[in-house]
Amino acid sequence: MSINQILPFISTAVMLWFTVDVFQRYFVRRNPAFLYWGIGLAMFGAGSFAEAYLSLAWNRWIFFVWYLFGAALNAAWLGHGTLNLLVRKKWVNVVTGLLIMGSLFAGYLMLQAMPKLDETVFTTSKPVSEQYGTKVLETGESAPANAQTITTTYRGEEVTAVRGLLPLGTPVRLTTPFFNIYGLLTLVGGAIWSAYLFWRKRVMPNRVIANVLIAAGALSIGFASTLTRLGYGQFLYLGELLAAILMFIGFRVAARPQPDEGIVQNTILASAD
Amino acid sequence: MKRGVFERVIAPGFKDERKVKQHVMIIHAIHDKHHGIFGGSLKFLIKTYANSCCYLTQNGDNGNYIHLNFDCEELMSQQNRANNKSHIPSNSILFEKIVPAALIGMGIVTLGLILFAAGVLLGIVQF
Repeated sequence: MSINQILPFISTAVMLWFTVDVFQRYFVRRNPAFLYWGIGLAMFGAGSFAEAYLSLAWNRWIFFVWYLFGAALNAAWLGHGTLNLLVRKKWVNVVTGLLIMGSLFAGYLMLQAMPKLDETVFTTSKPVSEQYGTKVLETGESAPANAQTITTTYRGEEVTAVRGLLPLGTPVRLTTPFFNIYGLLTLVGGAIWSAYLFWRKRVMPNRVIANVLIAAGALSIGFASTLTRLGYGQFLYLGELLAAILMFIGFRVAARPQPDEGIVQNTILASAD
Repeated sequence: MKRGVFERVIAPGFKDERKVKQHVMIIHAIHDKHHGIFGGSLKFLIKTYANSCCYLTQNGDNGNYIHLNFDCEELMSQQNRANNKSHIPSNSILFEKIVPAALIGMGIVTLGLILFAAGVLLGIVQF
């Protein structure tokens, strides 16, 4: 087994532990932030498991899970959890509604894409992140070794493209930037903002460190996803594992009880509002 | 003494509490026939603050009041010790240099990634 086949299994195990921990916290505290975090982490874990599975064999529905939950939705749900933790306003409920509808719509688009999957290009010798998308080759750009190419008409032009599982112009791929921008803004932005607030008030060092770790973890997966989109998918699994470990440690550090935590946190939240 | 110190000592079974003077708090307890005069609530209260700063000095005449006597200096020093643990230490390289640099760096990277994703949406970045 190669390292890229092992990493998703480790990420899955970490995410499973993390998800159970967060859901336990939700059932004790009934804070919706933990519910959204739990859903996002469950999606993250499902995506990791799908990657692990697809490194051994092909299954179209496992690919469905990988793309929809692993690539498209999980960051947005995680970020929405952070938004709920930071902002206690009614408009957040509207955003929740939009997120649910957007997720269902993305699921619908993914279902539409399923019959069009180009399954013949799939191989277990490469990570699924390197073969899921069909990529147009720019003028002068050469195809990677062993890549299957196709010449087709796209947006009125004849182009040569590296074949991928999802054909050119698959609509579901247009939805991922929306979810990922929202997820990045709220998850990373929220963690950086929280860390800054605690740091500025000179209180709760554990929360400062925790939020830095959460932001770093979220950024590592965001960075790896961007590299994947640029054609360097081999870093995705490492980024995922780093994200899982850093965010889990951050969450545990943040959850560690501190003296006078309630008083300090209420002060911070009040000043944030 | 700050009232906040007292607010957190109310245990289940106590109806209300009044501070009558700086060092003494009177708690109006609910009579519980099954568990003695103050039931498990008093035990909980004393157990929670079972240290040198709190001791029971007197039961009320009708058995429904207790007076709790607080050693203010001890309480305040305990609170100070707790506060020190929940504050960022001064002259810490981690918190003075590394954390601010990390926050700024991560903010810049986040902005870059968002611009990239926006580029994908606008068709500037091919996918």
